[in-house]
Amino acid sequence: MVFYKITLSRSTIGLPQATKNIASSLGLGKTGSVVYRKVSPSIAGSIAKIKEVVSVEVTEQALSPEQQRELRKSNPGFTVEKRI
Amino acid sequence: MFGPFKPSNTLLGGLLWKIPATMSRPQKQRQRHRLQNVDDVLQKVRLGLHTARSMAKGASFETAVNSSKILKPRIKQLRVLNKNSLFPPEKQMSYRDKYTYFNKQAKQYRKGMHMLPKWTKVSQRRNPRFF
Repeated sequence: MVFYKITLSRSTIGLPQATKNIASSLGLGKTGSVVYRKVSPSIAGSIAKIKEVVSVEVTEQALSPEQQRELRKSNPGFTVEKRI
Repeated sequence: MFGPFKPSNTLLGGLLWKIPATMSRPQKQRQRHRLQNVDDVLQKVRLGLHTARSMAKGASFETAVNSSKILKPRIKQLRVLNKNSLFPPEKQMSYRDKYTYFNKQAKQYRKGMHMLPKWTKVSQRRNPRFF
């Protein structure tokens, strides 16, 4: 399976309503929001319509929001061995 | 005559263009970066379609992504964007096309790209025929 990791890197403010609708139909809301979509011709066409405001990566796996949050976490420098 | 009422060229002499005729150097640099970002997005879209098709044929993800030759997408919407003559990449564009655009009212039929409404969020890379 191949996925597009689509990030809304710039705001859709000032764009025509039709273009904004394309962004929201892809699942993009606020600036910086990330969605994973399975590669298909229709998704490719949608990305091409909003190419000025997104950045795209090609990935093998789609990450859930929880997994994305885990990736963003920094190394705390210690491990909890036992909770009291 | 202080603060907002300070005499300036704009206040004293009726019509004065507040948008400079040409773009500044950092403005042009940012414009170039935006063009490159759009090129990158289109390249990734093509790569995704290529990878999906290669994997359907049985190739692994790694080999499909890293293959030197990329299959052409057979999609109607991308036909214009994939043609270098219609949508040239930033590298192939001339100075004239990157920073100015065709305008039939303008002198010499050219205006600074920064005069185009919403110019940072639209792709304007094509000229009309013979211009």
